[in-house]
Amino acid sequence: MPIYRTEGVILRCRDFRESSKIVECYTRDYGKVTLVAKGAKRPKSRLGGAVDLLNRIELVFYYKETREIQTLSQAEILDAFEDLRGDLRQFSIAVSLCEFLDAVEAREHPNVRLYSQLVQSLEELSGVRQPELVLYQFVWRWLSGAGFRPRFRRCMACGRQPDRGPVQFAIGRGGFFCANCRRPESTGRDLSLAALRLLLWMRDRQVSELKGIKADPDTIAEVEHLTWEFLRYHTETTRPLRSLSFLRKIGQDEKERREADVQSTDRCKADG
Amino acid sequence: MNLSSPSLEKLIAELAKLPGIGRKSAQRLAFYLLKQPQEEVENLARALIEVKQKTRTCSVCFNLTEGDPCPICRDEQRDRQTLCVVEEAHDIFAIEKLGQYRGLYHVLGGVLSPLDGVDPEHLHIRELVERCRQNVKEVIIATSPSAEGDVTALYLAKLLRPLGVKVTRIARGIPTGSDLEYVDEMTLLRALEGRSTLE
Repeated sequence: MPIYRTEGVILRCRDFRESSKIVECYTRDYGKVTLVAKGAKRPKSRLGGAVDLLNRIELVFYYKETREIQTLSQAEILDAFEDLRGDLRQFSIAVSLCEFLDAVEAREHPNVRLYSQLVQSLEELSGVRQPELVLYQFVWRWLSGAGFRPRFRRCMACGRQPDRGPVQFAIGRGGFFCANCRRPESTGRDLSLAALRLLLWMRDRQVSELKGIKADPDTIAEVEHLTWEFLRYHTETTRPLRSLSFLRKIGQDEKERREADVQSTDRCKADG
Repeated sequence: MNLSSPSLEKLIAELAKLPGIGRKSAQRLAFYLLKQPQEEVENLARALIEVKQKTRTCSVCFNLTEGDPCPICRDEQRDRQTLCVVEEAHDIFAIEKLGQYRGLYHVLGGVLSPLDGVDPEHLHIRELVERCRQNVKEVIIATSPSAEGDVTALYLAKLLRPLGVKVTRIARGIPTGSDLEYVDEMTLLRALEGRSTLE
């Protein structure tokens, strides 16, 4: 039975039997692998501390081709992305990245570039003002790598760069028609010029460059909508990400709480 | 497998539904029960039915109890200004076994989990906030030392601090009897951060 040593990020982690854990890990050299961490829940386990959601670990595992679940033998933490645990929003985005990768990547299909993108995204996430942009950038770059690179720069009909919006983004064709070249398209969606530019900018830049970005919430909402529609159309990924629903929910809660605080402050002022 | 006794087959199937019990273990348990005196088996059956009928959750702390509020919430001798927040009711058993903690508890019912879609509304967080408005001085958060446990703890801390409550987290570190050499970096780091003065 071969023994492999590599590094990876833990995408998912669940309890298994009395004291073990089953771990979904995206590794640098072997792609996504499912591992059993035997005894990881025992207090003196050498795996316990390392086997946790989002941890980047150096790992050793026994590989058997006929098995779907491999056996984790050693694990050491390289980075626990501690900063992300202090903010529920950032944490949810980080988990969304993992959930997305878990949903779209096939088992044991290595992709070193994708692994580096994942690590880089997790490293930079805490410094980005609008962390959801990290997720959308990651998805568009994954789509490009998977052969679905959309054309955001020039109109598919006239080849010009658009100077006014909205453009008509044809999801099925993977590109857009400018305001002058619009045509009947079953998968056509209106997209503002700001959203188009943001998509283009994000796709071709490094994640570290997102730090300086502050986009309009409506533009982000457009980008979000198009991202999932495009993904669904081309990859048949139909299951929505649970972590994103979670993120929307906490966003809504925060908004309601802020509004309630403002109302109570106003009431206090009115009461003198 | 076709057994000659359908009732035995049914018992094995029911036992195999229990967590961590496979078909083989269920079979072993069923044969063990068959060998026991009638009275023993009846006691077990009664205990199972009774626990299901009588046990409910405490309306104050969400602990498992037969009376409402639970004996811990009713106990006048306990420190009512300190709350220990745990994930599940069985965590209370672990802490109570120590016999050292004299405050009250609050069972969250899990941890925040974006992957499983567990958001603040799925947990007893609103009730915790309400309790903290009533003369609570300290909240000890005893969620598990995992990513989701940590996020939940920080979320609660942010929510409770504005109420003027002192929010603390149970320490984490090196388990007794283990060797420093084999302790992972995160645990060691936490142990160093949470070091205490020798008196």
